[in-house]
Amino acid sequence: MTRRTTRRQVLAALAAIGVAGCATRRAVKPRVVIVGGGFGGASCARALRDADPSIDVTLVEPNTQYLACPLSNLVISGWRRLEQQAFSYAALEARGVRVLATRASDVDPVAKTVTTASGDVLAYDRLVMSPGVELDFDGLPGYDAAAATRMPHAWSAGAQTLLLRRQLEAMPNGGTFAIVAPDNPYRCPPGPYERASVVAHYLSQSKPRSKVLILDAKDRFSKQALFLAEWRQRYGDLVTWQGRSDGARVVHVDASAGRIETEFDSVRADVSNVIPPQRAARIAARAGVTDASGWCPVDAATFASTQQRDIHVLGDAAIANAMPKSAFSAQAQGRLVANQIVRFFNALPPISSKLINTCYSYLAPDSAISIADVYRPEGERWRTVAGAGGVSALDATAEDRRGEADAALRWFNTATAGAFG
Amino acid sequence: MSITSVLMITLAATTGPAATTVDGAALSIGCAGCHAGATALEVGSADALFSALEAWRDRSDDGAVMTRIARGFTPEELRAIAEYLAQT
Repeated sequence: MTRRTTRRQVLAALAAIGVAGCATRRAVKPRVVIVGGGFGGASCARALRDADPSIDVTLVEPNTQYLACPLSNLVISGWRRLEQQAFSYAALEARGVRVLATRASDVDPVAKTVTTASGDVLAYDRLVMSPGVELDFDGLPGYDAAAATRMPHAWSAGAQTLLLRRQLEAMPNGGTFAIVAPDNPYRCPPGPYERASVVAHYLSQSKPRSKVLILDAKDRFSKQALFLAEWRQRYGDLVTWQGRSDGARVVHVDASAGRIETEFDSVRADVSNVIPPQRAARIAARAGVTDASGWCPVDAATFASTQQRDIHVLGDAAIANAMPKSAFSAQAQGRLVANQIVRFFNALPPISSKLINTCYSYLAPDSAISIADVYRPEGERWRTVAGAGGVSALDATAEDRRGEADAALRWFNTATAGAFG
Repeated sequence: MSITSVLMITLAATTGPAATTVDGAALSIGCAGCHAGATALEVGSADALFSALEAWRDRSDDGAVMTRIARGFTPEELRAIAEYLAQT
Protein backbone atom coordinates (compact mmCIF):
# COMPACT_ATOMS: atom_id res chain seq x y z
CA MET A 1 0.00 0.00 0.00
CA THR A 2 2.79 2.34 0.91
CA ARG A 3 4.40 1.99 -2.48
CA ARG A 4 1.35 3.16 -4.34
CA THR A 5 0.89 6.30 -2.28
CA THR A 6 1.74 9.24 -4.49
CA ARG A 7 2.97 12.54 -3.20
CA ARG A 8 -0.16 14.17 -4.56
CA GLN A 9 -2.38 11.83 -2.53
CA VAL A 10 -0.36 12.55 0.57
CA LEU A 11 -0.49 16.30 0.07
CA ALA A 12 -4.17 16.23 -0.75
CA ALA A 13 -4.89 14.25 2.38
CA LEU A 14 -2.78 16.56 4.50
CA ALA A 15 -4.48 19.63 3.04
CA ALA A 16 -7.83 18.05 3.79
CA ILE A 17 -6.99 17.67 7.45
CA GLY A 18 -5.21 20.97 7.73
CA VAL A 19 -1.61 19.83 8.18
CA ALA A 20 0.07 22.39 5.97
CA GLY A 21 3.56 22.52 7.47
CA CYS A 22 4.98 19.43 5.81
CA ALA A 23 3.23 20.08 2.55
CA THR A 24 5.08 23.33 1.96
CA ARG A 25 8.43 21.60 2.08
CA ARG A 26 8.37 21.16 -1.71
CA ALA A 27 7.42 24.78 -2.43
CA VAL A 28 11.08 25.77 -2.87
CA LYS A 29 13.70 23.85 -4.77
CA PRO A 30 15.14 21.30 -2.32
CA ARG A 31 18.85 21.74 -1.71
CA VAL A 32 21.32 18.93 -1.10
CA VAL A 33 24.96 19.63 -0.29
CA ILE A 34 27.40 16.74 -0.58
CA VAL A 35 30.78 16.90 1.14
CA GLY A 36 33.34 14.64 -0.55
CA GLY A 37 33.57 13.58 -4.19
CA GLY A 38 34.74 9.98 -3.90
CA PHE A 39 32.76 6.93 -4.96
CA GLY A 40 30.07 7.59 -2.33
CA GLY A 41 29.58 11.32 -2.76
CA ALA A 42 29.87 11.38 -6.55
CA SER A 43 27.48 8.43 -6.96
CA CYS A 44 24.99 10.06 -4.61
CA ALA A 45 25.18 13.36 -6.53
CA ARG A 46 24.55 11.65 -9.83
CA ALA A 47 21.73 9.47 -8.49
CA LEU A 48 19.95 12.52 -7.08
CA ARG A 49 20.12 14.37 -10.41
CA ASP A 50 19.07 11.24 -12.33
CA ALA A 51 16.10 10.73 -10.04
CA ASP A 52 14.87 14.31 -9.90
CA PRO A 53 16.46 17.22 -11.84
CA SER A 54 14.54 19.70 -9.70
CA ILE A 55 16.83 18.94 -6.76
CA ASP A 56 19.64 21.47 -6.35
CA VAL A 57 22.83 19.43 -5.80
CA THR A 58 26.15 20.98 -4.76
CA LEU A 59 29.26 18.82 -4.43
CA VAL A 60 32.13 20.20 -2.33
CA GLU A 61 35.42 18.53 -3.20
CA PRO A 62 38.85 20.18 -3.07
CA ASN A 63 40.53 17.96 -5.68
CA THR A 64 39.76 18.83 -9.30
CA GLN A 65 40.52 15.27 -10.30
CA TYR A 66 39.78 12.16 -8.33
CA LEU A 67 42.49 9.51 -7.99
CA ALA A 68 40.79 6.18 -7.34
CA CYS A 69 42.25 3.80 -4.76
CA PRO A 70 40.86 0.53 -6.21
CA LEU A 71 43.49 -0.94 -8.56
CA SER A 72 46.10 1.55 -7.30
CA ASN A 73 48.12 -1.37 -5.89
CA LEU A 74 48.67 -2.26 -9.56
CA VAL A 75 50.40 1.09 -10.04
CA ILE A 76 52.85 0.05 -7.32
CA SER A 77 53.58 -3.25 -9.09
CA GLY A 78 53.96 -1.43 -12.43
CA TRP A 79 50.91 -2.90 -14.19
CA ARG A 80 48.93 0.33 -14.39
CA ARG A 81 49.78 4.01 -14.75
CA LEU A 82 48.51 6.50 -12.17
CA GLU A 83 46.77 8.43 -14.98
CA GLN A 84 44.46 5.43 -15.41
CA GLN A 85 43.23 6.06 -11.85
CA ALA A 86 42.28 9.72 -12.57
CA PHE A 87 38.72 10.94 -13.11
CA SER A 88 37.35 14.46 -13.52
CA TYR A 89 34.08 15.99 -12.32
CA ALA A 90 33.19 17.40 -15.76
CA ALA A 91 30.53 14.75 -16.44
CA LEU A 92 28.83 15.41 -13.10
CA GLU A 93 28.80 19.14 -13.89
CA ALA A 94 27.25 18.35 -17.28
CA ARG A 95 24.54 16.46 -15.37
CA GLY A 96 23.71 19.63 -13.47
CA VAL A 97 25.68 19.07 -10.28
CA ARG A 98 27.30 22.26 -9.02
CA VAL A 99 30.88 21.22 -8.23
CA LEU A 100 32.83 23.52 -5.93
CA ALA A 101 36.58 22.83 -5.99
CA THR A 102 37.16 23.79 -2.39
CA ARG A 103 37.33 22.19 1.01
CA ALA A 104 34.39 22.14 3.40
CA SER A 105 35.81 23.85 6.47
CA ASP A 106 32.81 23.85 8.80
CA VAL A 107 29.24 22.63 9.20
CA ASP A 108 26.58 24.33 11.28
CA PRO A 109 23.92 21.68 11.85
CA VAL A 110 21.54 24.15 13.52
CA ALA A 111 21.65 26.83 10.83
CA LYS A 112 21.97 23.98 8.28
CA THR A 113 24.92 25.49 6.44
CA VAL A 114 28.29 24.34 5.14
CA THR A 115 31.15 26.84 5.07
CA THR A 116 33.92 26.31 2.55
CA ALA A 117 37.60 27.26 2.66
CA SER A 118 36.94 29.76 -0.13
CA GLY A 119 34.33 31.51 1.98
CA ASP A 120 31.05 30.23 0.56
CA VAL A 121 28.20 29.56 2.95
CA LEU A 122 25.96 26.87 1.49
CA ALA A 123 22.48 26.34 2.90
CA TYR A 124 21.08 22.80 2.73
CA ASP A 125 17.87 20.92 3.39
CA ARG A 126 19.79 17.63 3.54
CA LEU A 127 23.54 17.32 3.93
CA VAL A 128 25.38 14.22 2.71
CA MET A 129 28.81 13.69 4.22
CA SER A 130 31.04 11.24 2.38
CA PRO A 131 34.41 12.66 3.44
CA GLY A 132 36.33 9.40 3.65
CA VAL A 133 39.14 8.66 6.05
CA GLU A 134 42.11 10.59 7.30
CA LEU A 135 45.26 8.94 8.55
CA ASP A 136 45.42 8.99 12.32
CA PHE A 137 48.90 10.36 12.94
CA ASP A 138 48.26 10.12 16.68
CA GLY A 139 47.59 6.41 16.34
CA LEU A 140 51.08 5.06 15.69
CA PRO A 141 53.95 6.66 17.67
CA GLY A 142 56.67 8.03 15.41
CA TYR A 143 54.52 8.01 12.28
CA ASP A 144 53.44 11.40 10.95
CA ALA A 145 53.28 13.30 7.66
CA ALA A 146 57.07 13.76 7.65
CA ALA A 147 57.67 10.07 8.35
CA ALA A 148 55.35 9.22 5.45
CA THR A 149 57.84 10.78 3.02
CA ARG A 150 60.33 8.04 3.99
CA MET A 151 57.91 5.27 4.92
CA PRO A 152 55.01 5.79 2.51
CA HIS A 153 51.52 4.64 3.42
CA ALA A 154 50.24 4.81 -0.17
CA TRP A 155 46.76 4.59 1.37
CA SER A 156 45.41 7.43 -0.70
CA ALA A 157 46.22 7.31 -4.40
CA GLY A 158 48.63 9.86 -5.84
CA ALA A 159 52.13 10.98 -4.90
CA GLN A 160 52.33 8.36 -2.14
CA THR A 161 51.55 5.59 -4.64
CA LEU A 162 54.33 6.76 -6.94
CA LEU A 163 56.78 7.12 -4.04
CA LEU A 164 56.18 3.52 -2.98
CA ARG A 165 56.58 2.41 -6.61
CA ARG A 166 59.95 4.19 -6.85
CA GLN A 167 61.12 2.66 -3.58
CA LEU A 168 60.16 -0.81 -4.79
CA GLU A 169 62.03 -0.27 -8.06
CA ALA A 170 65.12 0.97 -6.19
CA MET A 171 65.09 -1.93 -3.74
CA PRO A 172 68.05 -4.33 -4.13
CA ASN A 173 67.59 -8.00 -4.95
CA GLY A 174 67.62 -9.77 -1.59
CA GLY A 175 65.98 -6.83 0.17
CA THR A 176 62.91 -6.79 2.42
CA PHE A 177 59.66 -4.99 1.63
CA ALA A 178 57.75 -4.56 4.91
CA ILE A 179 54.02 -3.84 5.06
CA VAL A 180 52.67 -2.60 8.38
CA ALA A 181 48.95 -3.44 8.48
CA PRO A 182 46.57 -1.72 10.92
CA ASP A 183 43.92 -3.12 13.24
CA ASN A 184 40.26 -2.89 12.19
CA PRO A 185 38.46 -0.78 11.15
CA TYR A 186 40.27 0.77 8.22
CA ARG A 187 39.69 1.54 4.55
CA CYS A 188 39.87 -1.46 2.18
CA PRO A 189 40.24 -4.50 4.47
CA PRO A 190 41.89 -6.80 1.86
CA GLY A 191 44.11 -3.97 0.51
CA PRO A 192 47.33 -4.71 2.44
CA TYR A 193 47.21 -8.36 1.35
CA GLU A 194 46.50 -7.60 -2.29
CA ARG A 195 49.48 -5.25 -2.09
CA ALA A 196 51.64 -8.02 -0.64
CA SER A 197 50.55 -10.28 -3.53
CA VAL A 198 51.29 -7.91 -6.37
CA VAL A 199 54.60 -6.76 -4.84
CA ALA A 200 55.56 -10.43 -4.40
CA HIS A 201 54.80 -11.03 -8.07
CA TYR A 202 57.04 -8.13 -9.10
CA LEU A 203 59.84 -9.33 -6.82
CA SER A 204 59.53 -12.95 -7.95
CA GLN A 205 60.12 -11.77 -11.52
CA SER A 206 62.72 -9.04 -10.98
CA LYS A 207 64.42 -9.60 -7.60
CA PRO A 208 63.68 -13.18 -6.60
CA ARG A 209 65.91 -13.31 -3.51
CA SER A 210 63.80 -10.58 -1.86
CA LYS A 211 61.15 -10.89 0.86
CA VAL A 212 57.76 -9.40 1.65
CA LEU A 213 57.17 -9.19 5.40
CA ILE A 214 53.69 -8.28 6.69
CA LEU A 215 53.59 -7.03 10.28
CA ASP A 216 49.94 -7.10 11.28
CA ALA A 217 48.15 -5.58 14.27
CA LYS A 218 45.46 -8.28 14.03
CA ASP A 219 45.22 -12.04 13.89
CA ARG A 220 42.54 -12.38 11.23
CA PHE A 221 42.12 -10.62 7.91
CA SER A 222 39.91 -10.60 4.84
CA LYS A 223 40.20 -13.66 2.52
CA GLN A 224 42.94 -14.92 4.88
CA ALA A 225 42.91 -18.63 3.97
CA LEU A 226 42.91 -17.80 0.26
CA PHE A 227 45.77 -15.33 0.50
CA LEU A 228 47.91 -17.61 2.66
CA ALA A 229 47.39 -20.59 0.34
CA GLU A 230 48.00 -18.56 -2.82
CA TRP A 231 51.16 -16.91 -1.44
CA ARG A 232 52.57 -20.31 -0.55
CA GLN A 233 51.70 -21.81 -3.91
CA ARG A 234 52.77 -18.88 -6.11
CA TYR A 235 55.60 -17.27 -4.22
CA GLY A 236 56.91 -20.01 -1.90
CA ASP A 237 58.51 -18.43 1.18
CA LEU A 238 58.84 -15.00 -0.41
CA VAL A 239 55.83 -13.71 1.62
CA THR A 240 55.78 -13.92 5.42
CA TRP A 241 52.77 -12.81 7.44
CA GLN A 242 53.00 -12.25 11.20
CA GLY A 243 49.95 -11.38 13.28
CA ARG A 244 49.23 -9.89 16.67
CA SER A 245 49.66 -13.22 18.46
CA ASP A 246 53.12 -13.46 16.92
CA GLY A 247 54.00 -10.14 18.58
CA ALA A 248 54.02 -8.40 15.19
CA ARG A 249 51.84 -5.43 16.16
CA VAL A 250 53.92 -2.34 15.42
CA VAL A 251 54.18 -0.01 18.42
CA HIS A 252 56.67 2.59 17.15
CA VAL A 253 58.46 3.60 13.98
CA ASP A 254 61.64 5.64 13.55
CA ALA A 255 61.51 6.87 9.96
CA SER A 256 64.92 8.57 9.90
CA ALA A 257 66.63 5.43 11.24
CA GLY A 258 64.45 3.24 9.00
CA ARG A 259 63.37 1.15 11.97
CA ILE A 260 60.04 -0.50 12.75
CA GLU A 261 59.50 -1.69 16.31
CA THR A 262 57.02 -4.43 17.07
CA GLU A 263 55.99 -5.66 20.49
CA PHE A 264 58.91 -8.12 20.52
CA ASP A 265 61.30 -7.09 17.81
CA SER A 266 62.97 -4.34 15.82
CA VAL A 267 62.93 -4.60 12.04
CA ARG A 268 64.98 -2.73 9.43
CA ALA A 269 63.47 -3.13 6.00
CA ASP A 270 64.68 -1.79 2.65
CA VAL A 271 61.17 -0.49 1.97
CA SER A 272 58.75 0.25 4.82
CA ASN A 273 55.14 0.63 3.74
CA VAL A 274 53.39 1.81 6.91
CA ILE A 275 49.58 1.80 6.79
CA PRO A 276 48.59 3.65 9.95
CA PRO A 277 45.26 3.61 11.84
CA GLN A 278 42.52 5.77 10.37
CA ARG A 279 39.46 7.73 11.40
CA ALA A 280 36.70 9.72 9.73
CA ALA A 281 38.01 12.84 8.00
CA ARG A 282 38.20 15.93 10.22
CA ILE A 283 35.16 17.70 8.77
CA ALA A 284 32.99 14.91 10.23
CA ALA A 285 34.16 15.83 13.73
CA ARG A 286 33.56 19.53 12.98
CA ALA A 287 29.99 18.66 12.03
CA GLY A 288 29.49 16.73 15.26
CA VAL A 289 28.72 13.43 13.58
CA THR A 290 31.67 11.42 14.96
CA ASP A 291 31.57 9.50 18.25
CA ALA A 292 34.40 8.58 20.63
CA SER A 293 35.62 5.94 18.17
CA GLY A 294 36.43 8.63 15.61
CA TRP A 295 33.83 7.21 13.19
CA CYS A 296 30.21 8.20 12.50
CA PRO A 297 27.24 6.29 13.94
CA VAL A 298 24.19 6.20 11.66
CA ASP A 299 20.71 4.80 11.44
CA ALA A 300 21.47 1.87 9.16
CA ALA A 301 18.68 2.00 6.59
CA THR A 302 18.99 5.72 5.85
CA PHE A 303 22.58 6.48 6.86
CA ALA A 304 21.12 9.42 8.79
CA SER A 305 23.49 10.52 11.54
CA THR A 306 22.28 9.46 14.97
CA GLN A 307 23.83 12.67 16.34
CA GLN A 308 22.71 15.40 13.94
CA ARG A 309 19.39 15.82 12.19
CA ASP A 310 19.30 16.32 8.43
CA ILE A 311 22.81 14.93 7.91
CA HIS A 312 23.55 11.59 6.25
CA VAL A 313 27.02 10.06 6.60
CA LEU A 314 28.11 7.33 4.21
CA GLY A 315 31.18 5.61 2.82
CA ASP A 316 34.38 5.00 4.75
CA ALA A 317 33.54 7.56 7.47
CA ALA A 318 30.30 5.84 8.52
CA ILE A 319 29.96 2.97 10.97
CA ALA A 320 28.26 0.43 8.71
CA ASN A 321 29.28 -2.57 10.84
CA ALA A 322 29.42 -5.66 8.63
CA MET A 323 29.72 -3.59 5.46
CA PRO A 324 33.42 -2.99 4.74
CA LYS A 325 34.95 0.38 4.00
CA SER A 326 35.17 -0.15 0.25
CA ALA A 327 34.44 1.79 -2.93
CA PHE A 328 31.71 -0.73 -3.79
CA SER A 329 30.01 -0.19 -0.42
CA ALA A 330 30.32 3.60 -0.63
CA GLN A 331 28.80 3.70 -4.10
CA ALA A 332 25.87 1.50 -3.08
CA GLN A 333 25.35 3.59 0.06
CA GLY A 334 25.47 6.82 -1.98
CA ARG A 335 22.76 5.52 -4.30
CA LEU A 336 20.62 4.30 -1.40
CA VAL A 337 20.91 7.65 0.38
CA ALA A 338 19.89 9.43 -2.85
CA ASN A 339 16.83 7.17 -2.99
CA GLN A 340 15.96 7.95 0.65
CA ILE A 341 16.45 11.71 0.16
CA VAL A 342 14.14 11.73 -2.87
CA ARG A 343 11.56 9.85 -0.80
CA PHE A 344 11.98 12.36 2.02
CA PHE A 345 11.43 15.35 -0.29
CA ASN A 346 8.29 13.62 -1.56
CA ALA A 347 7.00 13.03 1.98
CA LEU A 348 7.39 9.27 1.60
CA PRO A 349 8.68 7.17 4.50
CA PRO A 350 12.22 5.79 4.36
CA ILE A 351 12.56 2.17 3.32
CA SER A 352 14.68 -0.63 4.67
CA SER A 353 16.42 -2.47 1.84
CA LYS A 354 19.36 -4.82 1.42
CA LEU A 355 22.75 -3.85 -0.02
CA ILE A 356 25.65 -5.79 -1.53
CA ASN A 357 29.41 -5.53 -1.41
CA THR A 358 31.85 -7.26 -3.73
CA CYS A 359 35.63 -6.76 -3.56
CA TYR A 360 38.22 -8.29 -5.86
CA SER A 361 41.90 -8.66 -4.97
CA TYR A 362 44.64 -9.35 -7.46
CA LEU A 363 47.15 -12.14 -6.81
CA ALA A 364 49.07 -11.70 -10.07
CA PRO A 365 48.43 -9.75 -13.30
CA ASP A 366 46.05 -12.43 -14.64
CA SER A 367 44.63 -13.74 -11.40
CA ALA A 368 42.25 -12.47 -8.70
CA ILE A 369 39.99 -13.62 -5.86
CA SER A 370 36.78 -12.10 -4.54
CA ILE A 371 34.63 -11.67 -1.47
CA ALA A 372 30.93 -10.88 -1.72
CA ASP A 373 28.22 -10.41 0.88
CA VAL A 374 24.62 -9.30 1.19
CA TYR A 375 23.62 -7.05 4.09
CA ARG A 376 20.38 -5.98 5.74
CA PRO A 377 19.79 -2.98 8.00
CA GLU A 378 18.56 -3.60 11.52
CA GLY A 379 18.25 -0.51 13.70
CA GLU A 380 21.71 1.02 13.90
CA ARG A 381 23.42 -2.07 12.49
CA TRP A 382 24.13 -3.47 9.06
CA ARG A 383 24.17 -7.25 9.42
CA THR A 384 25.36 -9.92 7.02
CA VAL A 385 22.55 -12.04 5.58
CA ALA A 386 23.15 -15.61 6.73
CA GLY A 387 23.52 -18.33 4.12
CA ALA A 388 24.78 -15.93 1.48
CA GLY A 389 28.13 -14.42 0.58
CA GLY A 390 31.63 -15.79 0.92
CA VAL A 391 34.93 -15.90 -0.88
CA SER A 392 36.27 -17.58 -4.03
CA ALA A 393 36.93 -21.31 -3.83
CA LEU A 394 40.30 -22.40 -2.42
CA ASP A 395 40.67 -25.00 -5.18
CA ALA A 396 39.53 -22.82 -8.08
CA THR A 397 41.20 -23.33 -11.46
CA ALA A 398 43.62 -20.88 -13.05
CA GLU A 399 40.83 -20.11 -15.49
CA ASP A 400 38.50 -19.17 -12.60
CA ARG A 401 41.16 -16.88 -11.16
CA ARG A 402 41.67 -15.29 -14.56
CA GLY A 403 37.93 -14.78 -14.88
CA GLU A 404 37.90 -12.92 -11.57
CA ALA A 405 40.83 -10.72 -12.70
CA ASP A 406 38.77 -9.77 -15.77
CA ALA A 407 35.72 -9.19 -13.55
CA ALA A 408 37.77 -6.92 -11.28
CA LEU A 409 38.68 -4.66 -14.18
CA ARG A 410 35.09 -4.66 -15.48
CA TRP A 411 33.87 -3.70 -12.01
CA PHE A 412 36.36 -0.82 -11.83
CA ASN A 413 35.26 0.52 -15.22
CA THR A 414 31.58 0.22 -14.26
CA ALA A 415 32.02 1.79 -10.84
CA THR A 416 34.06 4.75 -12.06
CA ALA A 417 31.66 5.34 -14.98
CA GLY A 418 28.76 5.23 -12.50
CA ALA A 419 30.40 7.78 -10.22
CA PHE A 420 32.25 10.08 -12.62
CA GLY A 421 30.78 9.30 -16.07
CA MET B 1 -6.17 4.61 2.12
CA SER B 2 -7.45 6.39 5.20
CA ILE B 3 -6.38 9.88 6.13
CA THR B 4 -5.00 8.52 9.39
CA SER B 5 -2.65 6.12 7.64
CA VAL B 6 -1.52 8.86 5.27
CA LEU B 7 -0.72 11.04 8.24
CA MET B 8 1.18 8.22 9.94
CA ILE B 9 3.25 7.63 6.82
CA THR B 10 4.02 11.32 6.55
CA LEU B 11 5.11 11.55 10.16
CA ALA B 12 7.26 8.47 9.64
CA ALA B 13 8.98 10.28 6.79
CA THR B 14 10.54 12.69 9.21
CA THR B 15 10.72 10.83 12.48
CA GLY B 16 10.02 7.12 12.29
CA PRO B 17 12.12 4.06 11.58
CA ALA B 18 12.44 2.73 8.05
CA ALA B 19 9.78 0.26 7.01
CA THR B 20 11.00 -3.02 5.55
CA THR B 21 9.78 -2.85 2.00
CA VAL B 22 10.36 -5.07 -1.00
CA ASP B 23 11.22 -2.30 -3.44
CA GLY B 24 12.71 -3.26 -6.79
CA ALA B 25 14.36 0.12 -7.33
CA ALA B 26 16.12 0.08 -3.97
CA LEU B 27 17.09 -3.61 -4.17
CA SER B 28 18.53 -3.09 -7.65
CA ILE B 29 21.11 -0.69 -6.22
CA GLY B 30 23.08 -3.81 -5.32
CA CYS B 31 23.00 -5.02 -8.94
CA ALA B 32 24.13 -1.65 -10.29
CA GLY B 33 27.51 -2.04 -8.59
CA CYS B 34 28.55 -4.37 -11.41
CA HIS B 35 25.76 -4.04 -13.98
CA ALA B 36 25.22 -0.35 -14.74
CA GLY B 37 25.79 1.79 -17.79
CA ALA B 38 28.08 0.26 -20.40
CA THR B 39 27.97 -3.12 -18.68
CA ALA B 40 24.18 -3.18 -18.40
CA LEU B 41 22.61 -6.62 -18.54
CA GLU B 42 20.65 -7.83 -21.51
CA VAL B 43 17.63 -8.11 -19.29
CA GLY B 44 14.83 -9.30 -21.55
CA SER B 45 11.58 -10.11 -19.79
CA ALA B 46 11.03 -10.06 -16.05
CA ASP B 47 10.24 -13.79 -16.12
CA ALA B 48 13.48 -14.62 -17.94
CA LEU B 49 15.55 -12.53 -15.54
CA PHE B 50 13.79 -14.02 -12.51
CA SER B 51 14.55 -17.53 -13.82
CA ALA B 52 18.18 -16.58 -14.39
CA LEU B 53 18.50 -15.21 -10.83
CA GLU B 54 16.91 -18.36 -9.41
CA ALA B 55 19.34 -20.47 -11.43
CA TRP B 56 22.28 -18.54 -9.95
CA ARG B 57 20.86 -18.91 -6.46
CA ASP B 58 20.32 -22.66 -6.83
CA ARG B 59 23.80 -23.54 -8.11
CA SER B 60 25.51 -26.03 -5.81
CA ASP B 61 28.99 -24.45 -5.79
CA ASP B 62 29.67 -20.90 -4.66
CA GLY B 63 32.56 -20.16 -6.98
CA ALA B 64 30.58 -17.53 -8.82
CA VAL B 65 30.00 -14.15 -7.20
CA MET B 66 26.40 -14.19 -8.48
CA THR B 67 25.59 -17.41 -6.62
CA ARG B 68 26.96 -16.04 -3.35
CA ILE B 69 24.90 -12.88 -3.84
CA ALA B 70 21.63 -14.41 -5.10
CA ARG B 71 21.43 -16.60 -1.97
CA GLY B 72 21.01 -13.43 0.09
CA PHE B 73 17.63 -12.58 -1.44
CA THR B 74 14.18 -14.08 -1.00
CA PRO B 75 12.18 -15.22 -4.05
CA GLU B 76 9.94 -12.19 -3.52
CA GLU B 77 12.96 -9.88 -3.58
CA LEU B 78 14.42 -11.53 -6.70
CA ARG B 79 11.03 -11.15 -8.38
CA ALA B 80 10.90 -7.44 -7.49
CA ILE B 81 14.43 -6.91 -8.84
CA ALA B 82 13.55 -8.71 -12.09
CA GLU B 83 10.40 -6.70 -12.58
CA TYR B 84 12.13 -3.41 -11.87
CA LEU B 85 15.09 -4.07 -14.17
CA ALA B 86 12.86 -5.35 -16.97
CA GLN B 87 10.91 -2.10 -17.05
CA THR B 88 13.89 0.30 -16.88
